[in-house]
Amino acid sequence: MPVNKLHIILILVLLCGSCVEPFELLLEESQEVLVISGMISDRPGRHEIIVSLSSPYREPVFQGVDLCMVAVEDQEGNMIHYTNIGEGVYVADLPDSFLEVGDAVSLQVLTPEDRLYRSSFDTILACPELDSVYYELGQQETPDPEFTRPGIQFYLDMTGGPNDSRNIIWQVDETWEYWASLIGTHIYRHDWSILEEFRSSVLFKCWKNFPLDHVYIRSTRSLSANELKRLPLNFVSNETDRLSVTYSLHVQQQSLSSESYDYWRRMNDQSVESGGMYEKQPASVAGNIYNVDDPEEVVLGCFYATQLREERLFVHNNNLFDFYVPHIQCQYQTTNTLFTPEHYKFPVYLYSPVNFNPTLWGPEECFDCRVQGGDTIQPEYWKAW
Amino acid sequence: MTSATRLVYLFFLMALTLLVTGNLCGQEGFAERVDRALGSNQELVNGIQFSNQYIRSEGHPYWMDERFRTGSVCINAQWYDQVKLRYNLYSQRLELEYFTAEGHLNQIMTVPENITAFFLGGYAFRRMQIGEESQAYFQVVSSGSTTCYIRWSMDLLGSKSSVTSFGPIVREYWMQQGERWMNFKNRRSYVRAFPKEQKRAYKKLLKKQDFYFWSATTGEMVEMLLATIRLFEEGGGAMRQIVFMILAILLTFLLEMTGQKAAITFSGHFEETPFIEFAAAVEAQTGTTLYFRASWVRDIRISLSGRDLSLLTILDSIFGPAGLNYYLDDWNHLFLTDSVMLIAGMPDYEGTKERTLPEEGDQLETEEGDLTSAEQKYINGRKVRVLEEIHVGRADRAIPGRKALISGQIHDEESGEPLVGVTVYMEAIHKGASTAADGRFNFLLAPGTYGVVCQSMGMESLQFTLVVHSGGELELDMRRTLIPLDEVVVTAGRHDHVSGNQMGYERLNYSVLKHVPLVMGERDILNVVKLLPGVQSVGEGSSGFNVRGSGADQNMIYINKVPVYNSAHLFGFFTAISPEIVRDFTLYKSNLPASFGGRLASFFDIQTKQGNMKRLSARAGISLVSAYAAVEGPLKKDKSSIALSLRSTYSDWILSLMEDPQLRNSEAGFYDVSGVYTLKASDRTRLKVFGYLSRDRFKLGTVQAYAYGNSGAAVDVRHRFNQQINGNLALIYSRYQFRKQDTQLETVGYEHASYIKHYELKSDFEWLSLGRHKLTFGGSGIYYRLDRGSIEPYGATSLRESLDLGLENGVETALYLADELTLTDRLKIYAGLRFSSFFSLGPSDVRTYTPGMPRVEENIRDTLSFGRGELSRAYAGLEPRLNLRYLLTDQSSLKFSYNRGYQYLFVLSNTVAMAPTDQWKLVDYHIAPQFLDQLSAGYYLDLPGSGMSASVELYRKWGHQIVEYRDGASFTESPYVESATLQGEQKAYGVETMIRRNAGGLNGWLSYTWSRSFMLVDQWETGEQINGGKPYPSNFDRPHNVSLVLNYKRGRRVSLSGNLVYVTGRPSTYPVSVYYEHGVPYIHYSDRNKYRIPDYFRLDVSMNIEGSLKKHKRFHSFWMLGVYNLTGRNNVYSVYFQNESGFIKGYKLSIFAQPIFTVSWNVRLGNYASK
Repeated sequence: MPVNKLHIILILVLLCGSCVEPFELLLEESQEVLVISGMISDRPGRHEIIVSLSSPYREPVFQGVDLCMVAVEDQEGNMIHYTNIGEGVYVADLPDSFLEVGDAVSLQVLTPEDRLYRSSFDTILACPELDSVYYELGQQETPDPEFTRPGIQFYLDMTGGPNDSRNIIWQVDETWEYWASLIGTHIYRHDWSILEEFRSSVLFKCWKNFPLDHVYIRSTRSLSANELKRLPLNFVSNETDRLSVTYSLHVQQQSLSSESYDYWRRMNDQSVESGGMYEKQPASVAGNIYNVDDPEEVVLGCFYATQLREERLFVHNNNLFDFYVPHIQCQYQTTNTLFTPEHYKFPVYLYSPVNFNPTLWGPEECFDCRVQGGDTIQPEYWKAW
Repeated sequence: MTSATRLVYLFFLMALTLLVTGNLCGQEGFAERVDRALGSNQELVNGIQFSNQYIRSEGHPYWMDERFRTGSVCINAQWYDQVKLRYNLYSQRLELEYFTAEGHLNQIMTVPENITAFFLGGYAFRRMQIGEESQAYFQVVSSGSTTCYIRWSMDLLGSKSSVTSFGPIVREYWMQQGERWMNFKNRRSYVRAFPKEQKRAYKKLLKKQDFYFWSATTGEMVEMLLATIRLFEEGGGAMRQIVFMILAILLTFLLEMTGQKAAITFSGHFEETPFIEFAAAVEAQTGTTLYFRASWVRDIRISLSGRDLSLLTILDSIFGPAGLNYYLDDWNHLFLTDSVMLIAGMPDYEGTKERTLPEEGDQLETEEGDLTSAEQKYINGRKVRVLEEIHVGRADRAIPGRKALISGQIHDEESGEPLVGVTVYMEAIHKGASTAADGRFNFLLAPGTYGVVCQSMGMESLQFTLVVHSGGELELDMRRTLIPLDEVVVTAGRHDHVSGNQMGYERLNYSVLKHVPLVMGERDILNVVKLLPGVQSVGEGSSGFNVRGSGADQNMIYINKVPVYNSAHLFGFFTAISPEIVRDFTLYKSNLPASFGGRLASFFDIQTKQGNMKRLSARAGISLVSAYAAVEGPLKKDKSSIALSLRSTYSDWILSLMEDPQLRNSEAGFYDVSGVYTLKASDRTRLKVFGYLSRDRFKLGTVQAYAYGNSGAAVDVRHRFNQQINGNLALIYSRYQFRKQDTQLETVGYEHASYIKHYELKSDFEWLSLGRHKLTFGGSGIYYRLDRGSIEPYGATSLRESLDLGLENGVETALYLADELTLTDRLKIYAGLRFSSFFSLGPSDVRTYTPGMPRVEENIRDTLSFGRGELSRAYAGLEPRLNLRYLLTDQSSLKFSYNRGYQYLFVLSNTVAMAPTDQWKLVDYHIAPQFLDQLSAGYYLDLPGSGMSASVELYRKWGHQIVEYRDGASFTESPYVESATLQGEQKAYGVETMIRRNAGGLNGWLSYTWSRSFMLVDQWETGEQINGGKPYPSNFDRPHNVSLVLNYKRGRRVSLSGNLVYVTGRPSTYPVSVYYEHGVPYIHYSDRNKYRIPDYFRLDVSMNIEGSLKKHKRFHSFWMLGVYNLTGRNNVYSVYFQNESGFIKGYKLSIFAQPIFTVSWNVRLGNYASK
């Protein structure tokens, strides 16, 4: 076979790999199903129960249901009533030692339509010790074989005793501090007539906080010891500005009863199914909540009770990383690059050194970190470096 | 574009620029406002500020060097002198360095639109437009009325780990004199650009300047251009035609980088050296041999000096002006030619249209196309037809009025193999039979004379007069027909179709495989089967197939009686049985013979080649993923033979091309070996020994590794006790084993290995003495040993506790009796009864549960322990089989059948497709056997003369105690399968229609199937349900299914084939709504399988090109070219949903989304006709 022909075949084979494309569904039904979810722990303080309706697949929005009566009851009949603070959120402040390991609790929700929903009783099991949360520098592979993405991988170690729960769920949220890129001195806020002095430092530091959109869940039931080492959590790559200043990972470790574990394992399976060659048939996961008068009604969500342990880790970018972390990329530009003011929207930020020559400007996102979605209020728990 | 239009264009552009600028000036801009407010003047310092922008790059993109040099720049018609500039060839911007008022050194990128010209390093640049290119900076070298423009640029080579590097400098040249424009790139094109009579002068100029375009510095370049311009002006400039294309010249490095050209280098100093001397020096240095005619190179004098000069580059510059060409072959022979170019390389195979000319001593066989059908008819008509007379029995033993048993056997004359499915027909008495697997047929005939016709596809029809005296035997040989050899698609004969009692039955042979276009150029049995009506698969790359709406584990795949427990290679893309060993295969969808049992949906019976008893033959082939070799031949002629086949893949290289990192680091491979030994121990006894082995391995990155394999063996003895009774005894062994390592997480890494072993003794008898009856009976016993394996920790850090999933033992026995009764000439009945039983044996520990409660851990009541060999539970069932055939006319019939079957083992799977990781499981204390009733009816029709036949079949199935899986079940966490499964009812029905043509140049089939398949799981005693106890479509409920298979043969060397497949999309469960828990969105799904993925459509074509048809040759080869999925339709394999930053996104996965071109090359011993 001539060499050039072989090359053609090679190229053709390269082209024939599998292919993934977005897919739009045509559904005959659109259902709004009641969702009740919440957790109660042995920690005193604020607890939440959320009552909502599911939303159509195409427009995923959170639809809170207000005006319900929500209460948690223990086996002795002690009740904690929750207060509706809007958006489907119901809160209660738990007194000290209201719940302890071994207690079983159940949730009751009475909707404005007078339908009563209950959860089955869930028992609080002891939670293993959360030994440490740590990270290591690493590389993440990408579709380009030549190129890996540097970043840091978080891990977790846990050791439990024989009486501790063997089923654990971790809820993780991340917070990071990032800075605006440029310092400004003057600002035109609304029109060209008023040039104000501007204190850039007010808008210079921001924080963002999000829960990870992944629930980590694992059981040690099939392991000889109730412990886990190097359980991988999330990977933070150098593609975002998360590591640019300070990054913080907050891990909440919660014990689960075997019923709740089963629920969360299936929820987790459902969310990680990737449509590969041999995937399970998806199905809605039924929780432990039911309509007292109509057990056939589909109610989503789950209520569980847990013992909680938590750990917060800070990662400061004091040149620890041998990779480049992007800040917001900004450059001052000379004012001649602005041709017509009509093309520019207020406010206009300027940087003008002592004798005003030359005056430089830059886009708003370079001066005001809030444009990137963060908040300038430093969280209470923040540890700056 | 002529220069006039260009001028107009330029003018227009200038005017437009003026307009825009005017507009800007007319209105007070932001800059002016700032100037006014802050009092600065920023005409010059106008651009984007930056610092160290290429700090992470290798090299730099600047003209000359990285330093800022003093130059002048014209901004908006105002010249600024003594400014620090550098020219960025990559961004095509001029960069300016200046001091701010505070004394900081700043750098800005200027705005190109503002700049009309600049001087840098003593050279002039202008911003202008040439031709249809957009505006750019051009270096200007000008003298008199001639101007040369050079455009400099540079590309980014790409970034790797955030370090970027730049490509070589690219220079483009334009030369202008008055209205004339020309361009050039190297010495050759430079010289050629000038008129013939002046070439010599320009060549001399190059020599004088010792100038090479590829190595010239900027200064040399300018000097050279100026000299050229001067010469050009003197010569009056009668230039060649105006060339207006852009030539990109990669001068600096490119030639050195082009492989071979760079490989040959030499050094030395030559001054006006004659070419012959130069050649000798080069030959001595480089080992290259130069071939040339002295007269061509007489005038060539060579002047150059240097080290490591590229020979070919220099030859280009020498020969170009001299009008010579050269060609360098792979052995470093360099051929000089004058104006003739030597073509390097052969033309494409497809391009060769010439017929192979007959060589002396060779005979060229006549192609079919050479004779018209009328001519053929004429020739045939002239042949004297003498029918052979065959006598059976002895006249003295004839008993008048009593029928005699005539038993015969038909062989292939060439290979000596018994022929299956040959119809033996006696027109006068409307009596026919077809040969069985051993080539035998039987008749009860009154003494007399009969006209007999034997027909089989691919064979010359055999006609003779049979004179029956008394009972006896006859041996017949049939000859292969030369013409339709490879056109045979379906060997089930004409009479079979209508008059046989088979229904829901397909028999295909090896040659079909050759003509069905398949993925990756791999011929494959199961992929052909999936084109038959009533057979479907979940999707490409899924193991197994679904017959008439039943699960894939309800099919029995036999290869020479050895059951194959996993028929998939490489996740089902290929079948674990090499097609090279296959002689034919039969699929039974309904009307199962009583001798078959143990599966509900179908029996897929593969018969291998037995080995040619007459002579040796061999085949081999190679395709993109695998290579095979097969050999067969006699060990002792006409006594014993052997057939061997070996196939192996080398598919790892395909995986290494995958984008997905996990797939890229994966490994996959398979091989299979099979062999058959056949011994004709005596006239009455034949022994067949068969062995089979297949292995698969797959490693998914560092995360998972699988390996699995089948092995099997069978010893099969066939003995004819007397004229009436044939017997068959087989000893069968089969094993399927599986191993998996999961190392996704170190602390829970595990290894799991399991196997199923199958030991079987099976006997079958035929008894033919009872007039209109044909009795078959027999029995079998199977011992299963199934180790579900144990989950063991894998790796030193794994904390996984080992978990034994259990060892199972079971015995399945069966006895059967069946009678095929010819009631009248038109009505034939087949009735059979099979009694099967299963004994689940210890040792085992069985949990018992509270009655009426779900069989889950919470409801355990007790544990029963059964000792070794102790019976824990027995099941038994009667399996009636009934079939009626009624001939409406000679060409049409009606058939009806009913059968019941029991199945004592099943596959544990909770995935949509059958996965190679699925495990087998025996029925046990809790899980009862699945069983199924099927009714079917059909109408069959032959259309004589056209070679066409048609059929319609209806069926209805009731499946009971079918095993389904609880939502979210896991099979590796507990040995107690009853806690992960439920049993339900299955209902399936459908209509299968088919039209086919078996003869002629165009043959194939068209089938349409409408079918449905539903499951219902509602265990009333425990209240457990799937889908709320409502029926739901099974995974393989695909109502409409059309398949078209066509082969067209043109002459004997080329044949074209095509498949067209349309199937309704597979049922799927879709998300209905989204809800949030802990801020994470989750999906609420619809009822199970309520929706469908998009319909499936595929068109494949392939072409077989045979080698020459010479009769006497050692090897014959053929090419198979194919395109799979010609229309490139993105058939959806599965639809899935992912949570992406809060949004649930739906995706469809297509496995072969583009047309796939394949080619394979096959070779075999002998000529075209050799099999």
